[in-house]
Amino acid sequence: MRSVIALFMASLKAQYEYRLNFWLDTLINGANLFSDFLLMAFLMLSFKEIGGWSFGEIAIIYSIVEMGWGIFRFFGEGLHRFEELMVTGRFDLLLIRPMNTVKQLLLERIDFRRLGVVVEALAVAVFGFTASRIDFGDMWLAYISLVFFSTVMTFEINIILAAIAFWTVRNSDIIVLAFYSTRTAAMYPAHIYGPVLKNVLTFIVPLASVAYFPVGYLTGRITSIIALISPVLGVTALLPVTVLIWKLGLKHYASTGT
Amino acid sequence: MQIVNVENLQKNYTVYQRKGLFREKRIIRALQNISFTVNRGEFLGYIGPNGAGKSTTIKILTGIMTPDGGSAIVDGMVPYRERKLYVRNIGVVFGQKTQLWWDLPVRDTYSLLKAIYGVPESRFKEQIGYLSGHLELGEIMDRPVRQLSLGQRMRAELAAALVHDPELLFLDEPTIGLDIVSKHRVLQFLRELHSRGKTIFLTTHDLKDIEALCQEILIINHGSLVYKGTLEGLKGMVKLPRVLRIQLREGAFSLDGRCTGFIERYAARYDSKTGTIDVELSDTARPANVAREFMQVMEIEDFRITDPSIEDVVRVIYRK
Repeated sequence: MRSVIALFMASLKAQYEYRLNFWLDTLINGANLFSDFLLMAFLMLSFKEIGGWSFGEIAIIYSIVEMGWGIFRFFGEGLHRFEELMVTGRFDLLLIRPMNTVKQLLLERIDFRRLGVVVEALAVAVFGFTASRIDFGDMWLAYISLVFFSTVMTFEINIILAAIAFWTVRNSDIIVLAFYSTRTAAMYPAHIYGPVLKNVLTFIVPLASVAYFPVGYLTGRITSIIALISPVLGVTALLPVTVLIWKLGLKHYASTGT
Repeated sequence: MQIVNVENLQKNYTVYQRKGLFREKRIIRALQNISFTVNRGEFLGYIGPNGAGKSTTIKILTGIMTPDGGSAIVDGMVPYRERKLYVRNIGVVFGQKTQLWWDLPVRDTYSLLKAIYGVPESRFKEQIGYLSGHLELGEIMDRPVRQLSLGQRMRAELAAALVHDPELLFLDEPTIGLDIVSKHRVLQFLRELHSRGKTIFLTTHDLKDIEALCQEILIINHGSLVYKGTLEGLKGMVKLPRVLRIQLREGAFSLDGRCTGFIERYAARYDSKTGTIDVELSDTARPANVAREFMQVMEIEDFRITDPSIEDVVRVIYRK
């Protein structure tokens, strides 16, 4: 535990070395993402609703997915840039330390600028609860749980995607394709999509299971109880897959050294 | 007492080469049945040409890579099976990759490693004092790593590998790119570590480093072990002749037919630009006699006899 705290503090200190850049980046990061939201707001203002969901309700699923991503990027910068470690061979240096490799990656570069994303997601949530008929007083526990599941799932998906670099060395395109596009898609009610994308969001990159399904259930749009427990199902189902793929990746690395 | 025991170590790499439309699979045999042992407290120089399999060996011994065949037991453990436990007692320096935290002062890297290895505060203080003294880290302790010169960085790097005071050290080209002064300091420190009973595995291309430090050398070429033993033993294995170098007097560089015939008879090499003649001396030849014969036909300024250098010996081995 002491090593975890030490690494965390080191990351903070390293970023503080570039103070101005740090604050500018945080600001730009938040603003950049907020513009995504503005785009959606603009669309909503002209359509009033998407697939029967109001603007406020969509803002809530948006914020659940977004905050999970922001928290992931806060810890996950090392994981996000995993291909650099593969290309330069620096991954070797993690292997000569007596510590779990994923843990080292997560702590290697804590990205405090991503707090901008978290703040932005919070703002969107506040807006969502104000604009919709969902009452925060009744729903706060559900909301926090969903953010938790969304975060865990984002970690799982991104560990799997990072592990692909054990075989392919480069993986940034795969991340864009498999995560960024699905993340954006998961910010809208999944039933508006065709069956292929809907199934992808439900079973393959199951981000719909941490936002769309449970919120749909809680707002009475989806009646099946499975929609409520889908975050637990999704996160639990991905866990062994994540561990297995990472372990296989490590094994492959040990046998080829690429 | 043995600390490293490597038996029949094998490692193959599969590479794909594009051939027209298809990819052709090719197996590169990086290590072919390598066996050797290293005793506790030994200072071992590990040499071989580029691509000989040195890095592969080091990666297996540091637990980064698994071999395809054979076994490696180091300090009673199999490095690639018990990685996390095993790495606690080794220190590794990759001359080409830094393990220091780039944006932080040097001191912070040591604190981090202290936390990672769980070194107690008192031991840590003592060790840092020791390292700082021998590697002269005082002036650079509080500077961010990115501002250090290569020589300073390499000293900081060595200290980082030693924060947890390991018994066994793997140093992969720790003197690469260093100037003479920095290099001398590093080598001096390695000698000090060795005198403290550490076992050191040093990979380098600089044979002078090896000559200055190592009692034992290990040579690998094309994935096979070529030699393991002392430097002296190596010189005995590859018999190279001593060379008598004759320097002609200034202005007497142009030789007549008699002289060139003479040079040919001795199979000597003549450099007309510098006016030097190199004569290889056979085991039975007496240098004084050879020199006298040359003196009778040419105007000579100076003589010198040189023993074959370790570089010459190793070059012969690499070519095989």
